[in-house]
Amino acid sequence: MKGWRLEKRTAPSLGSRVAQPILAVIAGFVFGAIVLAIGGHDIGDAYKAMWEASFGTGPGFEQVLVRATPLLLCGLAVTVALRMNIWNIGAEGQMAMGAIGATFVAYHTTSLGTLPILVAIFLGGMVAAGLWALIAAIPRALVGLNEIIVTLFLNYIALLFLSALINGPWKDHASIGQAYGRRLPTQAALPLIGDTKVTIGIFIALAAAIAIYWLLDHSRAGFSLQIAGGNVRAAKYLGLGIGRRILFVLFVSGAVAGIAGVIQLTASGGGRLQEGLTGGYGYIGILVAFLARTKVQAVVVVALLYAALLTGGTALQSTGIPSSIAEIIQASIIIFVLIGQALGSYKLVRTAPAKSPPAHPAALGEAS
Amino acid sequence: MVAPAETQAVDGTPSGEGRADALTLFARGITKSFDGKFANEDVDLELRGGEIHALLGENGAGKTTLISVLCGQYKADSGAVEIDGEVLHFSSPRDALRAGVGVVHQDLRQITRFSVIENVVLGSDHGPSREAEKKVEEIGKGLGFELDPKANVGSLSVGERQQLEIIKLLYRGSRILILDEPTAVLAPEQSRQLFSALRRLAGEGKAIVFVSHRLREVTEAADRVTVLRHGKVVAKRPVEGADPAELAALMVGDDAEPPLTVTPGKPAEPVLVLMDARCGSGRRALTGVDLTVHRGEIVGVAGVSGNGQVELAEAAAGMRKLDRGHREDHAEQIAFIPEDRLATGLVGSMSIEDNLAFRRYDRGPMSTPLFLRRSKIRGWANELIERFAVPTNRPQLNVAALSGGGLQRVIIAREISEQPDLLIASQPTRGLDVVSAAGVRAQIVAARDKGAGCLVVSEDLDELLHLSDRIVVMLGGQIVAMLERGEADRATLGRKMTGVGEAEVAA
Amino acid sequence: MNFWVDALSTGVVLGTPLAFAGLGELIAERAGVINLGVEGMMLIGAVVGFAAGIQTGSIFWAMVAGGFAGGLLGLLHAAMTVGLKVNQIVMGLTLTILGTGLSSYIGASYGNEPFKEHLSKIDIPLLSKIPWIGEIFFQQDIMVYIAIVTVIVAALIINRTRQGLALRGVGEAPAAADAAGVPVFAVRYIAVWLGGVFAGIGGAYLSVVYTQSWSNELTAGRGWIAIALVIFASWRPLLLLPGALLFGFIEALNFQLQAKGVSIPSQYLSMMPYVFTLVVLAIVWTRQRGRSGWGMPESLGTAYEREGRS
Repeated sequence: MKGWRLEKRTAPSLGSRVAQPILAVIAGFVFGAIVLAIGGHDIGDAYKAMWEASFGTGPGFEQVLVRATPLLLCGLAVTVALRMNIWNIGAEGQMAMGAIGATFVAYHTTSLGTLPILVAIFLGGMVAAGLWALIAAIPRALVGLNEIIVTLFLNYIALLFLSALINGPWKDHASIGQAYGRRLPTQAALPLIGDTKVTIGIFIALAAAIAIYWLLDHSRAGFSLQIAGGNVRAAKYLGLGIGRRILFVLFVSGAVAGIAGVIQLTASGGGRLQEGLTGGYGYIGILVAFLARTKVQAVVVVALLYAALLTGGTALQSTGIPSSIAEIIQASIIIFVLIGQALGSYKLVRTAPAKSPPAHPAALGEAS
Repeated sequence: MVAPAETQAVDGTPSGEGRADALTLFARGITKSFDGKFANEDVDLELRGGEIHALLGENGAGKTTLISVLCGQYKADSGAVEIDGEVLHFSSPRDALRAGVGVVHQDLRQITRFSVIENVVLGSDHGPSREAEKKVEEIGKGLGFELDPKANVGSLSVGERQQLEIIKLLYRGSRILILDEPTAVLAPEQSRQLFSALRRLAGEGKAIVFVSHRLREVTEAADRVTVLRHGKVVAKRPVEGADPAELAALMVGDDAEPPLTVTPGKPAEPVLVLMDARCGSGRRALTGVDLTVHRGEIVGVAGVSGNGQVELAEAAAGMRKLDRGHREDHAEQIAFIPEDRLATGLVGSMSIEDNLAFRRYDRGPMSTPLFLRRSKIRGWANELIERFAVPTNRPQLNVAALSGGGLQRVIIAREISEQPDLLIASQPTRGLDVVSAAGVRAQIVAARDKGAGCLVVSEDLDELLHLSDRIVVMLGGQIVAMLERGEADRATLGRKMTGVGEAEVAA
Repeated sequence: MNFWVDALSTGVVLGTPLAFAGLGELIAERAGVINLGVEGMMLIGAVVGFAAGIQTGSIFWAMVAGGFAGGLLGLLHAAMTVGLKVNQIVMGLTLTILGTGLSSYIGASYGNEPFKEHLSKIDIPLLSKIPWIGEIFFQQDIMVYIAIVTVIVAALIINRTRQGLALRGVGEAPAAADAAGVPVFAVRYIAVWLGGVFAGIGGAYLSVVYTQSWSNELTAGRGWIAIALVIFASWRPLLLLPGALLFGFIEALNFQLQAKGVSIPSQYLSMMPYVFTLVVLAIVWTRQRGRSGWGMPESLGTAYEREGRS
């Protein structure tokens, strides 16, 4: 029995937690460079363009923040549920429902001023999205129906519903070509920060991060959520209502994703529903939450970095490099980080060579 | 062609002594460590066909680890296994099965959704078929078992599922059968049935090993014994002529604490009353229990696993609602020490200090209306760690890093520090090493002496006899006997637990 | 009547890639591994199949290439989730991103080039003459027949052979299967790889046979529908066929209604597969306990570790 074997650590070492993601990101970019080279593209040009489009310039950084806003919110949404071991795969659909709910409220409150209308549409969006999430929460609470499947399919139903509204009752007949929903009242627009292109949505997202950090790590409710998610029997024995908590957690999770939807609605292209409003942020939010191991501080950082990656990616087209390369780089970075996380939880243990068996086995009856 | 040719069964004598063609398995120098701690250190084991060999040791001595190595599930760090003179390396359970080594695990690895026959043929060279079913029935008859090959495993009793495991191994041609704590879930009469089946198999030339921490079983059923302690072999003896007291001493070593002298309790007013308690359904139900627990007494609950003890404990703790009947308690504080610690009493993904804070986190001083006060949680944890000797110096570590004994201390620390009026403990020392177990029992007695009423469910009859002021016996969801301290002994309890009539059963 | 026959007949065609991808996903899930990367694997199968088709002019090689490419991504999924025990959901989503990016990248060089070979319909003698049913089922191209036969064969293997028993055992309780000598890791690797292969074939069918062209939007969410299909079929392989037909029919119906200018918005019909699946899931879930062969494999989504200590 010679050689090595892998043994699971009981606690990942500190070194692995810090060094590993950094190494993984580097490995991802190296892989991307290889892909670029195979395709005959200039690696330097490509990475320079990505840098300038994201952290390297002012306008670039603005774009990063614009994307980081919904991404952070979706990451937070998934994190909230994940603390209770519930997988909310439905952030994408909840975003859509948030935008739909906000639009509905906006169409019916056209006479309000800016602040009241904004408050109203955010509330409308959060409630709509939260209720959408409850559709998955209720069966899960009642019979344990797997929420992954339900939230996943509710995404497509929500997105199709969005499309049906845009092309149907809420269609903006003035627009030619791509279908859009009718515009919201002009007051229903999130103000920009100074003369940047970034709305105050980023502050809303950060505020949400602080609130969720408090909820999960420093509140009694959050503590009880961890118990309920970690061990249903222990929770019952302490008298904690599991069903209640499932409903609560998914409602909050949905509502947070809904905020992202409302921000996308009022911030992009000026206040109207459109296909692609959700932009895949709901799914990427799952990755962000997982990579950040559900620690809120890490979610903020990961969301920012991933947003930079996305922004840099779309800028590649201007250098003649297909933006699909950016997707490949994204995926490979994630894969390397996952490999790093997996390896970091194991350590190598040497198995010594076998001892040679003795010449005669001990005779029967002999005490040792 | 399903079963391989069996080794010559000549006259059925139990010992393979002196026979040159008898089957042999020698394990030499087996060493296995986890996280730097040795579970097995340089262990040698010699098995022979025709013999029943016992692997004796207290909980945590490394018996299960050794079994896992022998069956190919774990890879040892070093050491070798030799069967009939050939050195073999197992890289998976498949290899071990092919070599003729079969293990009946404590957790009975079966697929409850499948039928008996499907579980038997899974992984073998043939699918389910009429011949396979016939073979299964034949093997079963030869051992005195009756199993319907088409029955769904989920509907079988624990004893029947164990029989299935044995049939499965014989079907696959195992010549070396290893059983890990087979009697843990059986009543005395079922254990006797099992051992007589094993004796029959040994008579056919198979090598049988069973793992146990009960000395009595070993001396009654085995031909040879190997004693493990702290992962090392401390003795290898033939059972005949061995001194049980010496074996016990070897098993426990010299860190055994002197047995706790338990003074009788002084029962005062009732703290828990159950009248005609009924709950649950099917085999795991209470079907009418009347029980009163008084302050200052320990009531022990004996019974074969699956006769309602878990339900009784949960109903007594107020965790389970009664369908009928009445439960009344006069306790301000109830402590519950559940049977499966990590599964019920703790949250594995949370830290030690968080687990210790379960009972108090939702009120001052550990939390204000808005915030949890982590410093207070830490302070409380440190206090409990010291008072109850929880083996850790970093309370922020994940609780899952602790051993069984450590986990139990966390639960006990958390529960008993609340000064309970009613303490309910289910299998409180199962899987613990001797020192931890003694500590747990001492805590229960101490709680009683402070005025708590205690209800202790345990499979360890010696423990119950030691601790309890009164013992009740559960069978079929009801209390069928109640005995005072001094009135009960193992034989009586065994009879009541299995409902055997007043006819004498050999102790 | 012709309207319905046409819709059903097209439904069979549209259901074929669903049946392939669904079968692959079912095999993987019966082994306990969920693969959310089906969409990416279908795309990569589509583009690689298309490229191979253009290069060789042969539909056969296009299918082989598509299956091969899908299988590569499947192997990656297996290596990460079974080998490294990475979370299956996260890995699957990542593979969808990877598959989408890779296929878009590879496909860019094929622009709007059409694939000229046409897979002709084959009439099954006798059966194709049956009124209506004949036209719907027995006048299809060979891949349709291959899909049907493959699903039936797979059903037989899964339910009646010892290999199928081993697969199901791994999906229910990998620890028990391991102890019984089933090579759990090998079974899971093969199952997940097959999941990728079949998804790739399904994708290649779309590009090479159905549209005879490549575009980034080719699969349009069919990978997710395939995942729904597995659940709709309650993880029973034979039920994949009526399910694929139903979902394909819905899509076909959608097209035809739009073409006729009917005013029902197409999105509501497109929702139906998901709605039906959720309804079926709700019904089966509450009744599935203990019945072998019905319902979600117990170990779905969890990794297996041999040296895990309890």
